[in-house]
Amino acid sequence: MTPVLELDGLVKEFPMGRRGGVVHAVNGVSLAIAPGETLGVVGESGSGKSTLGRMALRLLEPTQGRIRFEGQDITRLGGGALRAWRARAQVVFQDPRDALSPRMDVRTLIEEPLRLHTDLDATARLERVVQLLRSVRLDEGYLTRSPRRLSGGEAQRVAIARALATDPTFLVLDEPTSSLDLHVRRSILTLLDTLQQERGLTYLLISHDLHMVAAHADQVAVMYLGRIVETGPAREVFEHPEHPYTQALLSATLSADPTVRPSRILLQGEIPSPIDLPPGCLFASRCPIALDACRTAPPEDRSVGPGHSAACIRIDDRTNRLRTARPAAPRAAALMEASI
Amino acid sequence: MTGQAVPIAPPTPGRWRAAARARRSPLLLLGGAIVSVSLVLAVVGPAIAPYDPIEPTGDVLVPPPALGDIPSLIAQTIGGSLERPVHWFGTDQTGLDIFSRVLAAPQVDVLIGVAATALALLLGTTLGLLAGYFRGRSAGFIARASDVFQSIPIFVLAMIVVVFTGRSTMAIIVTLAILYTPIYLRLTASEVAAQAARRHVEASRAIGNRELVTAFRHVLPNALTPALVQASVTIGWAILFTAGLTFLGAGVRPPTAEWGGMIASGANLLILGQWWPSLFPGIAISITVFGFAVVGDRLEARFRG
Repeated sequence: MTPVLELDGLVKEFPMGRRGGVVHAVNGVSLAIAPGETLGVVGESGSGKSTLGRMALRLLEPTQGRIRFEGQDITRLGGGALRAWRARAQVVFQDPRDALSPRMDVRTLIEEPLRLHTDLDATARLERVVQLLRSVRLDEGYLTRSPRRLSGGEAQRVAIARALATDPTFLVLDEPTSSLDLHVRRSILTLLDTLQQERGLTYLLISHDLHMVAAHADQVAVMYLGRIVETGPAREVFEHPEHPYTQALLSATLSADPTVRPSRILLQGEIPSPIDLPPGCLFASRCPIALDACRTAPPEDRSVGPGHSAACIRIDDRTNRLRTARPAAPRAAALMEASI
Repeated sequence: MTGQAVPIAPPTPGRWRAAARARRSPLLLLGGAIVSVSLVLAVVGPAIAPYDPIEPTGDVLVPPPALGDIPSLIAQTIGGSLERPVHWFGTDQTGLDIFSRVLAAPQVDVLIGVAATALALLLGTTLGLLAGYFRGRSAGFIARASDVFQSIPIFVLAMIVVVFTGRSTMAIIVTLAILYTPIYLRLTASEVAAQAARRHVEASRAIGNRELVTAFRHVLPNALTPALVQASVTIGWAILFTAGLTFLGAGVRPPTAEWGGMIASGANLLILGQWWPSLFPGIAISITVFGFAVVGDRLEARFRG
């Protein structure tokens, strides 16, 4: 089956002012998402996951690499063809109240993509807007509301309705719940799951929340400094993390079960600057088991199971397991928290 | 403190909020009243004036009535027992009724101020949007060009332009509009640059809007406040500027009723003790410009937080 989205060696460099120099935000990412599936991209802030999502939607131009959408190369798509393509791939942003134009009411906001991409008349458009509102569990009463008078959850539902207006097949969900109150998150996630089932949507779910990704993604890609260090079926990756970074990341999450004592891997060392990346493995500076060989050349991906691969040379002789440590002092715990 | 619930003021409905604020700011209320009156006079001034403002009455240099006579004159005016309307502010050396001319002048002064500001607002916000949104080479050019414009001694330039283009109302409006455009350009460009980084602008692009549509529909409406607030101040300046030009003989042609021109024609009578031809239009300018400036100033203070 043709993947909905295929990224091939995507690179994004942001030039920095007149002095020259570039920020290496994304450094050669390749991935594919099968129809109807959710790929979760996880990583710390600054790992390039949002930049990746924006490139997938052609909201940012990749410096290098190719993007294929449903088999069609869209890397060089421009002008009217690009605008027409946008009906098929949409985005839901982190903070819905910033993502909705403040001076438009809900009706205008949801109608806008319909005006752009369909030739429905005013009556048909209104009917469609109401249908869309219903599909995100809101009613006609919201039509004349301004985004200012919506709660975070309601605003996110409106943003989802707007994204679905043109009946896209693919959505980038960029931290869709992290600006919302805890009790609203679950209902938004349930809604997104239901919509995926009903409409056969394909999701690229960007998040730093491992629990959320574990619960909602089929596949997962772990990013560190603009590279994917480990990728595979979500269950596989979370139960048998192979890359030391994935292991550290997973050990840092708190269990919902208070009887489980957290066993954490403590990371020390500096994160390299994305302006001046080291030649070898990008994680070597913080990796407790880094070898000299790690610092010379970037590691290739190793297959560690069906569809599961990780980029660590210590996988070759099965010495890639990290020793876990109990946090001895609050200071150590805080240190780990900061690394998530 | 007791454990009692503190009564919370009920939320004010939007419609009344403006009125409630105005009550708390008497200066804004006063400014608003002055602005309203001057705008009304700009439309109906000549029609409600007791005399034709450009037709000599035959009574030359009649002084205004003595303060003590005013109550009885008002009573007689209301009663309609007077043969001719009172020259409340006296008449000038050609016999023109000054009160009528003061009332009629907003049709020139306020109209020029409002029209020039509206034109500058239109030009400035459009160019500012383009300069702030498409921050490329052409944007840099627009910004530099407006810098150059702002460094020119504008009063002198305006005089030259207006004299050469025939001292018409239109010439003054266009000249002032071009002079004030850079102000709006700068205000809008910096606000646009801030707004363009917001997520909803990217969202507009993501649904497939053209860049220009994104700029005008999703950026501009959120970047207009600083320019709109500035408008009232600019109208005040433009009124003063028009009066100044006419005072120097480079503005509208006499005998058009215009405050600056009236002050100028009465100026050489001051020395003879005939103060009324210039005093009343002078007061009218001061009050009007004060009104527009106060409104602009209060609005700016409010939107700056």
